[in-house]
This record gives sequence, C-alpha cells and structure tokens, in this order.
Amino acid sequence: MNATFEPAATASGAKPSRRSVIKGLAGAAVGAVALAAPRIARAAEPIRFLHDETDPPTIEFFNKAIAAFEADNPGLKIEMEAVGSAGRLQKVTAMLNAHTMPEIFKILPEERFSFGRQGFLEPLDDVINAIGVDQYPDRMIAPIDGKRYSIPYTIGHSSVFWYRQDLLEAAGVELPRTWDEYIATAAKLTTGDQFGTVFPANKNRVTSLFFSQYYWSAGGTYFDKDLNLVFGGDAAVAALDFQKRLFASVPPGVVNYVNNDLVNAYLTEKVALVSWAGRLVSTAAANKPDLVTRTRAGKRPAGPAGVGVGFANPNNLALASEAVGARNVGAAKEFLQYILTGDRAVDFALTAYPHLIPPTAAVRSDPRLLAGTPALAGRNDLAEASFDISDTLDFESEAGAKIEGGKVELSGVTNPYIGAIIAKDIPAQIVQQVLLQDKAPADAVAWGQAQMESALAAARKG
Amino acid sequence: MARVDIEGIEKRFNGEGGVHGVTLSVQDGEFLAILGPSGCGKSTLLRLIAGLERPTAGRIRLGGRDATGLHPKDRDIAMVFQNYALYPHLTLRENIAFPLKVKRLPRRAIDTRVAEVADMVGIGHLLGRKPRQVSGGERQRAALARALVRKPALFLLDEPLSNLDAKLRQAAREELKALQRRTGLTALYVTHDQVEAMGLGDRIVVMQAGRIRQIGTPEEVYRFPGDTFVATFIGTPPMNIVDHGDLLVGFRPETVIVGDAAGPAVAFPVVIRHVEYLGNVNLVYADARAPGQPVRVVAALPSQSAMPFSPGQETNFRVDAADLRFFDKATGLAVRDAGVTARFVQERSDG
Amino acid sequence: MAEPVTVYPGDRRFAYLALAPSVALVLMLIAVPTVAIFALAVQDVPLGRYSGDFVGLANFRRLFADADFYAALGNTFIWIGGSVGLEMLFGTGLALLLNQRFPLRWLARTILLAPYLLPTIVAVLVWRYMFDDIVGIVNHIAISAGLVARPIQWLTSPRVALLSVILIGVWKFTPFVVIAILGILQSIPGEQYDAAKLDGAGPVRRFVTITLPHILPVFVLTALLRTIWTAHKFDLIYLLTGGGPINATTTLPVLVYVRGFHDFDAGGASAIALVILLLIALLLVPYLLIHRWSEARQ
Repeated sequence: MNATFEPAATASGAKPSRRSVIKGLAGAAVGAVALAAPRIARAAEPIRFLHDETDPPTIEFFNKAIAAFEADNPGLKIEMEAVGSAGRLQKVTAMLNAHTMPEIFKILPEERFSFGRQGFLEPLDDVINAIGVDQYPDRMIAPIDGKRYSIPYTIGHSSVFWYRQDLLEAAGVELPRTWDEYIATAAKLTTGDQFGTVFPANKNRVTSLFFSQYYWSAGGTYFDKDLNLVFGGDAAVAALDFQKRLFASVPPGVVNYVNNDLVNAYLTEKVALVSWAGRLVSTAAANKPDLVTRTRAGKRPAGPAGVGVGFANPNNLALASEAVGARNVGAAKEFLQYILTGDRAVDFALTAYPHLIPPTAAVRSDPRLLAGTPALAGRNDLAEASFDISDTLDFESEAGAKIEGGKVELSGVTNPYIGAIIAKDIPAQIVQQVLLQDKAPADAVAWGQAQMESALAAARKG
Repeated sequence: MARVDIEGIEKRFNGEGGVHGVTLSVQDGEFLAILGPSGCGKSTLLRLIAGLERPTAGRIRLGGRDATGLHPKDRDIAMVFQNYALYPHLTLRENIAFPLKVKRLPRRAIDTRVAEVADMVGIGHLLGRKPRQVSGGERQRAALARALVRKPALFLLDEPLSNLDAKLRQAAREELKALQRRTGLTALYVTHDQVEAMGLGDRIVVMQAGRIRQIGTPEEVYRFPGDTFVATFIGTPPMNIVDHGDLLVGFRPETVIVGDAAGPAVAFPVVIRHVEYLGNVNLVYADARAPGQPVRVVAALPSQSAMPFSPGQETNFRVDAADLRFFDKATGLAVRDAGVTARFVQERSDG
Repeated sequence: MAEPVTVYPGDRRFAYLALAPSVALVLMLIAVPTVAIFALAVQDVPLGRYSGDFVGLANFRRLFADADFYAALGNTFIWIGGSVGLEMLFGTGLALLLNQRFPLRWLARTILLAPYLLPTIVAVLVWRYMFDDIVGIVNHIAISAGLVARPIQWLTSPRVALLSVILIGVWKFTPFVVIAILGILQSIPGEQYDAAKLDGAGPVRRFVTITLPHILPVFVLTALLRTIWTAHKFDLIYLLTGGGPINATTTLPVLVYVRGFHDFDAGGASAIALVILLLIALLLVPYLLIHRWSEARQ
C-alpha cells in the first residue's frame, strides 16, 4: 500500500456503495415486474372495444351496458377505449401493423372495403342476420364480395337544415328554397358579428362532406355505375361557385373548423342557418334550452338539379380478425349483438337525441324512443327532421346515382375505392383552393381530378 | 484647485453599513489615507465622493464647486478599484486608452498619453497583452495607468494593494507614494491596513461604524489617539489599556523602560507570561494586576538591548509619566488634562 | 487549466455501471429510431404499412419535386428566423431589465418566467380562444380600442397565421433566453461599470464595452440551442393550426406528421425527417464558427 490515502480501500469506500447501487437497480426491476404482473394476468381474455363516441352521456351509457353484460356473463370482461375522431384512423393503422387490434372497433363505411379485402375483418353476417338484414336501409348494409364486414350502430345524418326562426322573422325573410335564395337570405342575415350561415373549410372529412352535398345537388357524382371516376364538369364548378358566393356570409374562422365548431357557431348564436346533424339540437337541449325553442328544421335549399341532396351514412362497428390481433371473437360477437339491440339500442339513441339515429326500423319505431327526452318534449318536429334521410347519399353509394328533376335515384352499386379519395381530403383541398387561394373553380377541379386519379391508382394497386 | 470638502455626509442603507455625519477637508496635493476595519464605511465614503452613490444628506464640494448632484463623469475623478476593474477582452493598451476614447481625443494624442503613462508605471512593454496574461502586480499598475491617463483632479484608490502578496505590497507602496509626489495629485486612499495608512498618508482619517474617529498626521494619530478605538486599532501590538477607577490608562508597548527614566515614572505590577523574539524586537507578554481580572499587557523591547524579563517573573513595567495616555471609561475619549497625569502619578506612588 | 483527477480502479467500473441506464435509454429512444428513419427513407412503404422494398433515393426525388416541400421549407426558415431572432432580442432586453433593482422585481421575474413553465397544450388552448375571430378577447380589445375595424383572423388567415404562431412561440420560449442571459449578467463584476461611469461612458458604450463581450459566449450558445429546438418544434404549431390554413403554417416537422400519419406515407415522411436533420446540421455551422472566433478573442 502506498503512502497516499486510498479511499477505495477503506470500509466506507466505493465498493460497498457500488453494491448498494446494484441492489437498488435490482429492487426497482423486481418492483416494476410486480406492478405489471397483475395487469398481465388480468388481460387473459378481455374483449377490447374502441370507439369515438366521446359524449359524456354516451360514455356513461356504455359503462352501464358493459357492467350489465359482464354481470350476465361471468368470466367475460370488456375493456372500452374512447378516442377522438381525429386520431382514430392513426391508432387503428398502427394497431393493424402491430397486430394488436381490439376485437370491436369503430370503422368508417369507406374503410371497410380495403380492410375487408386485406383480411383484417371478421364477417358479421351471422350477427346481422340474427337482427334482420331488412331492418337496415339497403345502401347501408351492402355486402362486399358477398360478405358483410361491419354493422351500423347509428346513422349519421349530417344535413338537417336548421334555422333560427326568430332571426328570420326579425329580418322579414322566408326560409330559402333554392341556392340563389340561400345566398341572398344568408347575406341579409349577415351584419357585424352575426353571420347568415356556416360551413367548414378545413382540410378534413367534414369539409369534403359539405362539398359533396352541393356537388350532388348540382347533379354530379364522383363515379359512374361502372366505377369510373367522372368527377368534374359543370356540376363541380357550380358547387364551388355556390360555396364561394356563400363564403361571404360565413364566419372567417371556418378554415380551421372541425365538427364541434359548427355546433359552437350555432350555440353562440352567431349563425342563422346551418346544415348539420342532430347533434346541434341535442347539445342545445342540454346547454341552452331556450335556443331550442327558437330553432326550426326545414327542407334543404335545392341546387341546380332541383333537389337539395343531403349526406347520411352509417357509423359502423367492425370485428377485427384474429390475424391482426383479435382474440376472443365469439364473445365479441355476443357483446355486439347485446349492445346493438333491445333496450340498449334505445338507451344509446337517447344519450344524444335526436342525433344518434337508430339504424334499425324496429328501434326507430320504439315508443320509448319516440317519446324522446324530457328536454325536447313537444318538439317531435326536430326529431322527425333529423330521422328523415330521404334525398341523402353517402360516399360509397353515390356511384352512378341519377340526380335530376328534383329526384335522387341510386344505381345500387357500392364503391369500394372512394375511401382513398376521401381519406386524402381531396375534395376539401379543392374547396380551400377556391375559397382561400382564389383559384378559379375549373382549375381547382382539374387539380382535384389529377389527385383523385393518382389516389385511385394507388388504391386499386394495394 | 483640487481640494475636497465634505460636509455632514449621510448615507443610509437598509440594514448595515452606511456613513453618518462625516465632515472632512482634503488639501490640494494631499495624500489622505482613510483607515478603518471592514464595514466601517470607508469604501462607501469613497464611492460617495466619486458619485457612484448618492448621499442621503450633506454636501460634497470638489475644487470649491458643489458636486453633490454631479454625475461621476463630470467630477473629474479617477478611481482605482480593489479588483482593478480592467476590461478582460481589451488589451492593456486599449484599457488604458478607454477614457480618452470616450472623450474622443484624436488617435495620435491617445497613443502618446498611453505610452507616457504606461512608462510612468513601468508596464510599457506589456501594452499588447490582455489582463489575464499579466501578473497581479502588473494588472494593478495597468489600473493605475488607466486612472492617471485622464490627468484627473482627484485620485481615489479603494484598497488597491490588498490583492497583492506581502512582498509586492511593500514595493508597490513605495512606488505609489513616489508617483503621487511626482504628479502632485490629490489622492484619497482607503485601506484597512494601518501600516499602509501610516506609511502613505500625509494625514490619516480613522473611521469606525460609519463615523470619523480622528483625523491627524500619522504621528498625531499614533502618539495622541483621540479615543480607545484609535489607540487600539493603530499600532502593532496595540496600546495597552488598564483600568483605573473611572479612567482608562494607556501606554504603548515600546514605552516600557528598562533602566532609568527621564522623568517621573509609573510602575505597573505584572506577572510575565512569555517572550516572543521577532528579530528586531522582543515582545514581552504579561498579566497586569488590575481590579477584577488581570489585564494582558505587552512590552516591546529592542532585541539589541538587555532582556531583564523572564517568564513567571513578578515584576513591574515602568513607564515614563509623559508617555501615559488617559481615556474616559464611559465614552472612551481621550482626556487631555495635565492635572490628571499628575494625580495618577501621585496615586500610583502612594499605592 | 484543470488539474487531472486521480481515478482509482474501482471507480471506473462504478462509473460505467452508473452510466448504463442512461446509455440504454439514449440508445432506445434516440439511436434506434434514427437508424429506423434512415432505413425507412430508402424504402417504398405502402400505405398503412411500416416497411417495404428498397428503392434507393426515390422518396427524395419525389420530395424535391413536391411543391408542398418547398413551401414547408420556406415556412420553416421564416419560423426559425422570426422566432429565434425575436426571442434573443426580447430575452436579452428583459434580462438586462431584470438585472436592475426595482421594487417588486421578484414578482416581475415570476410573471415573466411563467409562459415557459406552462404545459404546451394549456398554452395552445388558451391562445386559440384568445385569438378566435368571433369570441376571442384579443380581437374584442382591438376593436373596442379602435385599433382595427374588423376582426383580425389571427390563426385563420394564410397571411397572418404564421406570424401569430411565431408570436405565441416567442411568448412561450423567451423566458429560457432570459434565464440564460440573466445568469451570465449577474456574474459581471460591478466594478467595471463603475470604472466606465467615471470615465464618462454612457449606457450604450458600457453595454458594448462591458456587457456584450461578457455575454457573447452564452448568447451564441443560447441562440444555437434555441435554433435547434425551434427547428424541431412540432406540437405548438400543429395544435394551434394543424399546419393550416391550407399550408401557411406547415413547417417541415408538421409536414413529416401529415405525410406520416395523415397520408400514411412512412417512406416520404422519413425522407423529410432526414432533410430536417441535414438542415439543422447546416445551421450549426455558423454558430460553431462564431463560437470558435469568440473563444479566440478571449
């Protein structure tokens, strides 16, 4: 030993403290495993359920229904996860790739084609047949290659024409019946910080949805009945012209709008005329009942084709296949059937009445449903307007539709490819170019056509 | 004219420190040392004169003009700081030239003056270096040069030598005094080191707790201290103070006589504790008999002379009556009454 | 300058052990994803998948032919230049201010540092409401005070949105600059300012001669850090505007997200990510040069 002081060699030197570090790390590792173990054990066979109905009353309903189901079926556990609409597809895509899909998940109608074809989904024909295929509107239950891969849990009718009776009366105007009247009336009702109407202009699905309504109302369709892309023509230019002229009467912030912003614009009493879902009324009933008394529902203003075409599509639940991570498929089907029928279906629809439209005729005629909620007592007119899906189309059923002379005639062809166009928000971008970048409608349409072609090419390949 | 007149200066800080009721005058060309322990307010006084602090009350006159409200730059004062305050990223030349650049002197004139002043303090060969590339003593001289280059009317120095080591301090002290003589500048020099103050000052201002205790030449302050604080602060070892009723009696260590006294002498009974040999003096530590506790007293005898004392010895320290100093026990102030001395001698002779 | 430290044999092993968790974390969170990005960037990844066939630089060729990329590149430069420039300017100014003594200085310091401590999501929500065209308080005050006649579309006008996002970013991150500069300011010996005052130097000269050289190394380092972090910034912009309106506030990181998670183009998104990496590396160069120059001056 040399003469210099060697702390490492003494009793209180580095060696014992190193040992205590190792001990500490080991302890932490054991602790982490101990904490995780119960989780791992518990996750033996739960049924996982992913959806995007995040309204608190709806969440409450699900919790109750799940508890009841678990009580009736000891040994089965349901794990529910609610996500926002915006992040749903990203999450689902990630889980598909990682093979960790939940058993039951929310799927948009245009998504079920590619998912079904790639084997991500378990067919649900047995569940649908048990409930009754004819209970559902034809176009909302169309099969793909003979199989049905998803089941509607609600109909989303996004185009009820709500209006402020008091504001129209005060301005001495009638409810507009045509596009020209709509533009004029909206302009008349736009003063200071009040706006005649509202529609979204963000780069998202709801903007594409609004544009599509106007495009159809001008007689155009995206595809013909042979599934060729026919988007464009006078109808597209007319629709864009219409939106451009109507743009002068909408709040400036629409370029950032998502679904809820449409509701907020109406609830803050800033707009007089709005085409949107029953969510408007259900939210108003919960937060501003007085506003409901001043709200009415009317017929949509007619476009050049003589009719105001609306948008209504099913919101679906699908069953993931075992190939992508679903485990307890049988039990999941039982839960699906449980939650979509009987009292549960009525309870569900009542959590956001009259926004959540029951997809089956039986539930729609259920007396308890027709009684509505106390908040909307005596306002059956609003529920009727919301439930009325005549003259509506959706993305996958519009191919080859004939819209003229005030009538809408479906071709009966289901379009599996349009999802690629909508997912890329191409119609929304066309609208943005015309409204925000002052592009000539014809040029924007030409741009859109090119984008749609390449999206389609990729979709048909993959 | 570079006289300084300070009248009734007050500076109050929240908490400690500050300066109270300071009045003093500095003659043109005088080297005035301001001496005191840490926290006595000497640096504050200097900063007040410089204009870096504003007094709460009182007036400051520089060269006869009222300068109390003047900005530092208008007072024609230069200052050397304890830590030199050189700009680290400029060369010594640029540092020294800085005041002249601010005054927008022409380049030629600046170069000449800088060279002049640098030679005066002996760093002419270092002008291209940065402060951290030269030694402490050289930095101190650079700070001096920067102060001198403006040819100020008044020169303030705040403990400029305290960061130098002991050997260097001695030499620097000599140079500083020579410099001041040569330039004829009025200088105010703040220090806590009484050797410096005694060596450098034409007059010394002794401060304590924000007040002036005494102003006088080094000899006055040493031989006739104005109160017990000055008496014990100045002088190493300090003056011996012994109780005597309601008076305090003091005598300096070197006034202890060995052999015959010139006039009447007084004896202080002591017990010798130990003797320290310091080369030129022997310090004799003893306990003097006093009412209550024994008091530690020290005698300083030239080491060349005889050493009559040894540890343990019970003997007397004899002091010439003329070397005794008396202070009032209550106030600590010196008592200058000839009668007092006579009475004391009388009492001592009796007892 | 520093003396060498004596290291005993047992110490070295202990040091490695103590470092191991951090190294593992760094490898997991940084090294692995970086390698993965390099790999993805040269693959043709089908929609919705995360691996594909090797295609060399095809993704990059596609990227450099994409108008959106150049728009995002331009936006990125404006975003970085505007943000860092304003942050350094305001941050240094505020630091100089907070270095002075004034009543309630502790309160001023607390308030000024608060934005940095606020979680991004909270800040974003608050600013979105404040900047709303119809119900936002900023427009309300501006109109009531007569500063503007019509509401300003802070986050919804393609011309104004990027500026608004920059201002919010500056509000949020200037405190970091303040902290850094204030720290170095407080280490400047006060005596130097006293000497300069006596010599007649005014505030500007004192700043240039004393303050600036002293803070320069920290200033450069802070600007460097702010540049790297600003170049990366995704959450603030995306949450405020989603990259819109249209792509007015789409910077490269936002474009990565949109390509990767909206268009499900993992290969293209990875290519953009690598371009960002290159961009930051290039941005480092001037800073390193300035740093070396300022070190040499010392």
